[in-house]
Amino acid sequence: MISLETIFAIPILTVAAAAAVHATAYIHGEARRHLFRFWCFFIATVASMLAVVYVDGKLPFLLAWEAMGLASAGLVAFESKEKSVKKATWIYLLACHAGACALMLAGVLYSRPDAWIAAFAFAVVGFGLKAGFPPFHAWLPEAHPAAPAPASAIMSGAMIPLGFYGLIRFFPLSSECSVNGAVFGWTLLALGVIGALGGILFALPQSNLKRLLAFSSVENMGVIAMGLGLCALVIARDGKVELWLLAGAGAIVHVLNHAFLKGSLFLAAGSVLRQTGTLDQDRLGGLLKKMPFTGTLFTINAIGLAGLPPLNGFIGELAIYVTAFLAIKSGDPVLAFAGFLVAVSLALTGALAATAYAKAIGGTFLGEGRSEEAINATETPKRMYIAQIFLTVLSLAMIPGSVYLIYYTTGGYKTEVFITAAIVGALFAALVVSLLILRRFVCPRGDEKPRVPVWDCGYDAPTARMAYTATAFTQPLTDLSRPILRSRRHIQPFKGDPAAPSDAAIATETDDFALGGLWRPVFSRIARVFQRVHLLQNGSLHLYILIILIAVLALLVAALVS
Amino acid sequence: MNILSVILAVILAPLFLGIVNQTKAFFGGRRGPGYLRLYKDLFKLVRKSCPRPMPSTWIFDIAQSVSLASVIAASIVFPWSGVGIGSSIVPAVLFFYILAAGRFFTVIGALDAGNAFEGMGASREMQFSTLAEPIVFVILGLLVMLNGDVSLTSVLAGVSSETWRESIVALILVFGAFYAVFLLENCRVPFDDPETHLELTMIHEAMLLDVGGVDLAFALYGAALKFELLAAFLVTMFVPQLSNPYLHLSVIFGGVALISILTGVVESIMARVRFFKTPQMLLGALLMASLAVFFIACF
Repeated sequence: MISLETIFAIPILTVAAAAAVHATAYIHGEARRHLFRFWCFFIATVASMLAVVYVDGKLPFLLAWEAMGLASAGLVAFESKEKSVKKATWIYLLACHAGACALMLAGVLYSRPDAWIAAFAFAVVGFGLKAGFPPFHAWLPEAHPAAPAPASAIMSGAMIPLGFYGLIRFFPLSSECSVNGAVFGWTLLALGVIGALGGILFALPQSNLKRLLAFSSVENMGVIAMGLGLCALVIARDGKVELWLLAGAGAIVHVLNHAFLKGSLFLAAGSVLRQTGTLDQDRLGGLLKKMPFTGTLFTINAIGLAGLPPLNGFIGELAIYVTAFLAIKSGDPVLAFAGFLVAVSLALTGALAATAYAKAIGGTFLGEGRSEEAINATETPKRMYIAQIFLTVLSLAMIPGSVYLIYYTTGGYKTEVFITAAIVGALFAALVVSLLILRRFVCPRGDEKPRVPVWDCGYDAPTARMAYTATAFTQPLTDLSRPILRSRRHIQPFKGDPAAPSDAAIATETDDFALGGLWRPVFSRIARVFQRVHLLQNGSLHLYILIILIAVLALLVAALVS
Repeated sequence: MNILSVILAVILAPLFLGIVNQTKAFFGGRRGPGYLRLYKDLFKLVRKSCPRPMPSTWIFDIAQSVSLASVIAASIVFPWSGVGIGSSIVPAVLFFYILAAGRFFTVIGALDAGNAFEGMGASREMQFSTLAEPIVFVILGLLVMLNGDVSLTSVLAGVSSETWRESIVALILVFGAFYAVFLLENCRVPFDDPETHLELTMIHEAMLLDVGGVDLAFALYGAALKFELLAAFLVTMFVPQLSNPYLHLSVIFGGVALISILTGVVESIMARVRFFKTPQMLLGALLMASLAVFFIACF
């Protein structure tokens, strides 16, 4: 019997194990003095996450939830000497407490049947603050780059999907909930579509590798939300039982696949940071030659997370696609609309994710190194990539594993589709191998591979500065989506004599829209309101005595009147 | 019969690009390179060695093989003669995702060469294919709505005469939208020009600048097979399934030859558009596809 608890506990245990092995080498040099603090928070985080999954009752759940937030905030703050880390920790703590607050309100309202909508709304806010629903995702792109890589791996792979766990646990998806299924479905569907498309769109221009991965987490949570939303909607429209089970299975399978793939990617990003000291993709490059294991594992996992066959990321998305297409065919206009929405958003998301990951692979690992650090990088200690191999093997096992989970959940509905998908994937891999063999052994000169200079319009000896940077790679798409991204550009034009101009420069920065465009104005407005209250606290003793006097008089009058 | 038709498709693929080139030569008043030019080129290339650019790694080495493997895998599951190998269960989504996986490898292979032009080509390729993806999936949704199931055979079950009568406008719109995707995916005018010789204006060809020998043969052959495959997809969308597989196969190949001639004509009478106009053209194709869905759903 595979229960919901098991599904969400597996990523916690596996990703935490890999992250622990990775962390033993990741924390090096000066930082090793604070090793004790790191392990305390690490163990507390993992323990509280397991508690969230396994405790019974609302109050223990809330306590475990709050403990999880606080313990992981300790991990985020590990390198707290840097200003950006301090800022990120603040934002993360704020998000955790706001989430806990919303969940308490939801818990109070939960038991009253007439307040279902209010309870659900607060739960979406509370759990969404963890799962990164837009616009509550603002902490993700701040906290993930600030936290040490093993902590980011756990948070992104295992912790943020717990938001979905909480949501399904308290608002279970079953045939009985058809009354409110429409609200549940449309809410998650809308949040999922915005999250998936917005997340991956903001991932595109990021030059910081971990920030890119963090935005990609927002995207993947959006994909899961789309699956669950479709599931609830099919229930609400009295669709076939197998159909909504299929959508749910797709979402659940994607939780696992995302955990293993993203966990490994964050660990690889950590290895890159440890060996080069930077995460800026425009300053990296050529690392596949210097760090062959880390680079190869990163490439495999990135292809998986871009949702391309034959790897596991594709199978979960395929389940959501199949449900969407069957919903289109069902004849119910509402379901057909939802199906089209999901299929088209998923297609666009997938294509954008492929671009973002091509950029991550290309910018970080391919071509020539663009800085001293990248050129002089060396491979990591063995245990760092062994941790990644562990997660990658789990990902590969998830190719048949996803098919089995879908079979298990739906009881064999449309399973042949997923089995053939896996077989065609294997056929694809076999074709690659046979073409490589053909090229090597059958072609007369196939194994001769002379090294030649790159073609740059006839100029030999190109420098790494002439190659395309990661930012340049995505520039056409980010330019197209400028109205949404609102990137800031700092241009330093040519100066001096046109024949021998000075260096020109351009720098672009894309901040999160939700943080800069929504939360910062909201919070600064709140701060301004509370500034007025400062009048009462101006430090003058006379004013305080006056206030106490007025309060006592008012109480006296009130007592006399009653 | 199924295996036979796949083998036939694999053998015939370079011929159709020959048809395109001969059509263009006819319009240009030239004699043209001949229908079998690509076969001769491929034969010449497989006897050469594969030069590798200095910065490249194993990704560059396998990129063209993966890209060709993806197209071959997609052709194996394609229902050439009405029923294909497993195509009655293979989901249509998988068909397009396998092609996308091949393209992904071409792109990272190009980035691996570490040169400005290949990076530029890779960047443009990703931009345009990203914009084409929603069009494909709107059309797939429409086909599922018309024909009933997610598998490749049922998506391509063909349009019944009844649908032809009722919603001819929608079908023309679908043809236009998919034809735009077809031209884009195969790097044809007006989106890309396979014959351009200036690196700055290349898209797909720019990614192959440093590819040579057997790898170049793989890339050229893969492009030819993809051309044939997507043209066959376009034809099968509209041709009702015939009971005789031989007849079906010959109708499909006849249709692909017609599409090749049409492409030759389009290339002869049209100039390629500027890069900045391409997104607008793709948006137009997306609107056409969505309008077709609207027509079929509402009338």
